[in-house]
Amino acid sequence: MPICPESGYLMTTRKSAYQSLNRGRRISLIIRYLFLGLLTIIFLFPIAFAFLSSFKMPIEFYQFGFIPKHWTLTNYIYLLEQTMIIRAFFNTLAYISLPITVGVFMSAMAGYAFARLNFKGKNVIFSLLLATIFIPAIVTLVPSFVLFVKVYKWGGTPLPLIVPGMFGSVITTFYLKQYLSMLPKELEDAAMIDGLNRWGIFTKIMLPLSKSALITQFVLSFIGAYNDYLGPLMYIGSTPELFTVQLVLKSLNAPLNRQYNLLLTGSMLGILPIFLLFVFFQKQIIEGMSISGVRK
Amino acid sequence: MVFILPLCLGILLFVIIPLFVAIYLSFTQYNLFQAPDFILFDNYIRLFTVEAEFWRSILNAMYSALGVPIGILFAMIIASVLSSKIKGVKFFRVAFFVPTLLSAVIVTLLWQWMYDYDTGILNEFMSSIGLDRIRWFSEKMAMPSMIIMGVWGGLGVSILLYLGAINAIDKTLYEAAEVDGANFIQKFRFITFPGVSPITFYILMTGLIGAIQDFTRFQVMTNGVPPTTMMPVLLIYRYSGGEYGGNYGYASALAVILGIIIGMIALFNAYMSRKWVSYDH
Repeated sequence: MPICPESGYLMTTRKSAYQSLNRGRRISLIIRYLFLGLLTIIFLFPIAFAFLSSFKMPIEFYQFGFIPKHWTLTNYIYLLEQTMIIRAFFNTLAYISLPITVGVFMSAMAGYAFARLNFKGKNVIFSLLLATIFIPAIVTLVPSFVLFVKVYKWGGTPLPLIVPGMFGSVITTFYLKQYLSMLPKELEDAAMIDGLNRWGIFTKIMLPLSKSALITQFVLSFIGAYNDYLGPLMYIGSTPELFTVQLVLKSLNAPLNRQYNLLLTGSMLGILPIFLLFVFFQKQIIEGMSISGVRK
Repeated sequence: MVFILPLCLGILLFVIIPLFVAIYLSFTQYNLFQAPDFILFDNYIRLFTVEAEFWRSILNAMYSALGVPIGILFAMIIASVLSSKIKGVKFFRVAFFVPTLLSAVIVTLLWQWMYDYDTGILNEFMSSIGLDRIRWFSEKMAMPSMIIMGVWGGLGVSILLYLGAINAIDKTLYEAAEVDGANFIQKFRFITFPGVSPITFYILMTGLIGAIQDFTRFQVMTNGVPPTTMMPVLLIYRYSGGEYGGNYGYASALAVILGIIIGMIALFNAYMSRKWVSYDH
């Protein structure tokens, strides 16, 4: 056997991790991989199958087969030309862009205040805000509708979907408060000595430093708002020109004579923006969701 | 301080005020066109005497909520396996997470297609191995079908949460247990399960509250037909300008009662958690 030039020890060949296990452990490892593999199929198969099927001719949906016999784009063309899905996509973007950007900014403001500022009643207010999370959404649903339609006179417009989100959300505030309170205080102290006021500190120091947390909140808010269904249903459910993507998809789902080719293709189109977000912001999405769970 | 003004204003306008309006409305009869008609407890009397559909929907919601503990069990096991010495954790983590990104509407449409009696992949599979095709939306099977779909869509987040929780458990506990000769099941029962119990509590709580208020996938998939799939929020939606017309007073009363039920469930859950949740000392 050769000798290692550095240490002087005899060099034996290293066994692979797999080979160095005894038989019981090996079986356990195989079982675990099989288990995970099976699960992967269960989780990903529906989406993959739907994706493949979206390229099938409509007739093929009455037959059985995984791969399209004739690859075609007719489903996509039909959806893009004959339905409102493109318009709905721009509608959706228009509705959610303000709540996402302004809302996260407002939440950041509040988060900064709770993290760094001191004022009378700070803890009481914070506890009260947290308590509102426990109010089930259903209780505010009906009166919100009455208020928006009868009092504010916003019926038939997307305003009820846009305006409330712009004030920020307690959960986002909580998340950002945690993040901001862990930033070093010395920067703020130095800035204050230099004569910067609170607002300047917030905009010029805290915000830039919390970029990753802010991005996480933007992306999570986007996903939540994009996937929202009940809100749009209640307020613009009767005006097809204003539909969001989710509403258009639902409108394709007629109980009689279901056209699965359209439903699946529409779903693929609907997933596209989220999929793109996931490709670019996977890290933030997973980190953000593993802390706060799914967001409405 | 001006920094918290927008948030507090928003909560006041869109949460606190609606809360009080809801309670007020529940004592009225209101159809949006004429002024609210103050009828005091009539809505509640109707709720607790004649009303059957609402209470059936509560039972349906409880049935649907069975998916939460099922999901917890699966997620815990899957996360445990992923936390053992496995290569490719990141890949599996992403793979299991993907369904969670899909909107409720899309998940529902996908499964509706798979559950189709004639052309759905599930029945194709059943008949190819010689079993009878299943009517996935018969009265008996409708809710189990929805539970399966719900677990499929929700596991991703739970798995992520458990991965984090298991990772935070002190590894030396496992080593000490192995020295004492513990096998996999014992390690799971005495170390893993108590170790992640705070997360279990969180998932259980948010899962139950979410399951009772489940709406989108039921409205898109079955819209309450068969009646075993009628859910509370769907019913409230029907009374709020949906299929049952605009009876906003009654809808509010239903919502208030539902909110109280949810509160009771949350309190009960929190109380029971003392028995089995263990926090680090």
